[in-house]
Amino acid sequence: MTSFYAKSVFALALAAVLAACSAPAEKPGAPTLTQVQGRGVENNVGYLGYMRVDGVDHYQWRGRRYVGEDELIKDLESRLGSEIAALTPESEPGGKTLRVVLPAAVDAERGVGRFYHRLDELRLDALRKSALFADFQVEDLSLRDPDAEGRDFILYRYANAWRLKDGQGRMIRLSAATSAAAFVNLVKKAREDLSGDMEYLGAQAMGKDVIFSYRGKEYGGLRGLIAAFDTLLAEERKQVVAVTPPVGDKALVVLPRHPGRGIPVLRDDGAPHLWSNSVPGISAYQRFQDRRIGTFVTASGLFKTVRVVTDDEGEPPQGDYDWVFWHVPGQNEWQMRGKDGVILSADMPAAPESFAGELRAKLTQPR
Amino acid sequence: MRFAMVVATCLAVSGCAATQSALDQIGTATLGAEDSLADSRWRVSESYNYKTLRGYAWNGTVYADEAQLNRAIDDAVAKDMAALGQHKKVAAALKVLRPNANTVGGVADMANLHLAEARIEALRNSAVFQSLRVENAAPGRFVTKGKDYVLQFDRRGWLLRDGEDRQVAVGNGKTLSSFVDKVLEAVDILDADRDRLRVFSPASGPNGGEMVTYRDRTYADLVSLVDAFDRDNAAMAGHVVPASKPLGGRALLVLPRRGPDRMLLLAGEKPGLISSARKSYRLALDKRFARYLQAGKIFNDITLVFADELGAVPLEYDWILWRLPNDWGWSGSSRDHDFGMLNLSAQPGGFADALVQALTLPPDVDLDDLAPPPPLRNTMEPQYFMR
Repeated sequence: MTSFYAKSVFALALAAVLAACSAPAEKPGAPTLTQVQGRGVENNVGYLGYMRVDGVDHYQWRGRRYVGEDELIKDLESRLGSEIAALTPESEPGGKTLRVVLPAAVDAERGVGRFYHRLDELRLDALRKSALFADFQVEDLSLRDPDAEGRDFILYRYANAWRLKDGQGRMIRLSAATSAAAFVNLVKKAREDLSGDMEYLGAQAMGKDVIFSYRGKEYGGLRGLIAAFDTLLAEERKQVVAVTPPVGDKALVVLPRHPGRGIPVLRDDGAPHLWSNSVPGISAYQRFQDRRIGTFVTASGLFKTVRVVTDDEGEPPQGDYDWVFWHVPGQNEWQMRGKDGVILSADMPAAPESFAGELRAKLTQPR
Repeated sequence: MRFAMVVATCLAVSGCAATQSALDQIGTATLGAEDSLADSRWRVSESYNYKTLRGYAWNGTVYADEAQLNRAIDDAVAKDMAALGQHKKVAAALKVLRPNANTVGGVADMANLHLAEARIEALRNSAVFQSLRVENAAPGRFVTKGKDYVLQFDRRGWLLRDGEDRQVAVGNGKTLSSFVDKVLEAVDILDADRDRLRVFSPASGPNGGEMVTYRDRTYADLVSLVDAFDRDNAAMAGHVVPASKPLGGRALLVLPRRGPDRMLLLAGEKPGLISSARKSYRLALDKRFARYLQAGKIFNDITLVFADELGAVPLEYDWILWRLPNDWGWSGSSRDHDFGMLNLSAQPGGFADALVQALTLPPDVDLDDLAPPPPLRNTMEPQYFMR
């Protein structure tokens, strides 16, 4: 049985929007090939600078300056074409079907919208060449929440981000791709994640904000995330199948007061000061996981009365409890101690339906 | 569970007076909302342009990178330090709890740490206090060692505390000299506060010479002093306005049984005289908080316990509010989120709503509005987009 915590890693995908840019101001009529200064700008296909000098549109992209849109688009196609040509298709092409939705270019943005639309078309060319999916058509639509319409996945752009969603409606927002190959890899990783149970908390920094995701749903902050956890907890409590007879009269379940401590973290990249913005989400997630166990034990029928408390770390006293359960932050296992004083260290069962039966087996096994 | 006593829902406590209340009340007088906003400019912060970090804002200017920022700070510090000027003297000692360098990260935090060190040095150079001692701040705890005033760096600026845990928001100040002036203003405000308790020992006093002044009256015995605390608390609690948006649910309120491990001495006080009156005063402040809480009608149900540590807290409580013996303020948590030290209003009228706000998570951002296309600007500076 997979433990709750085996996959409770916290992945922070810091979007490329974090890359700061600070190109120097230039005089009108400056040479068109001026090296742009600034971190993360030079090699990032998704970073476009725009300014209007003396009524003429100027663009800055990947370390070069362009006067007028045509020159920019021509170079975009040339450079992305080279990137796509260098891509190696999957050795075993994926047979999964894909619906792709890309809104039309925004013409009111003085070439900026058209640049990004063309960039997206080229990204899709890269995806097509990668053979991650069966061949696909691109629908020219702007939809907030489209579905896969019978296909295995849908890849769609909405509100400045690409998203991949599976047939169950679970969605992953892709961070901004820095190259054609990076886009393919983002889609590939999202497809792999959607193939799993998504039992992990994700966080993506968007400027000063952090978007959390859990089980394929996004939350714009702690409020929504915690409310979702409460709803899930109430639903899962109903799924717990109580067993009889009890294995004891009284049980104590001790949840750590600081559940986020010592949690293993996977971080794609990023600035520590923004990373810290996500820490409350980690704590809320871990508290949810711990409360889940308290709720399951309470509903399991294994004890006549169950007391659930939060407390500081440390081994709780036995008191007059038949069983005491406690969890040390950062560890997968729970500690379980009966009246005989022997401590059993084991994963807690994960599924609510089988929780009571599986926990009974652990508590009654010969020791 | 290590609670000493459960008094039950309705707070059968007499007396009133909140640590935070007296503190913030004074602090408000020093640094109003507009002042606070203006003062925040003298802290370094990150500046964003359409979700993109464009530099670091300080003193009304945005610096594109760390080197430019540090150069500007170094120049300003050198200039200000040379122009410190004369300041009045305070017949007291000051302990400064500097931000802990191990807990900061990022360019802005490091720059603020640098500025904090410069402000400490300005205080030292101006020699306004009889003595000045600097220690690293420990997270969430004031450990004092008998100095008259304590200056601590908060997230938004500096705070000055006196021996009765009352604090004044000092802020940052535009220049080093104005920072020193702000500290001196804070000292004046604390000294002028009528709520101040002072224990002294006149040669002719009764009971071994210990006497206490509180709110312009002198008390020679603890009973009458505690009665005065209770009367004031009751009167102030009567001005509490119930919360406009109550949180509801069950709350657990944990009040400390004992005073802090080390109490501050005020000028002229002797350690032997401090215990009973000062500890009673401390308790009265905590009881005021409890009274305010009850009058604020924030929760459906409040359980009050006395304990010097949180211990095991049953999950049946939706909210927990506590102040441990060495904490200088009140902390709060919900079942799922620790709100840390609470920023409360001392004014009885604003207490309930301020507490509700302190225990409310900020609204989530609208996911669909996270990255709307910015309007194009006609500018010589390139405007960057990322998609």
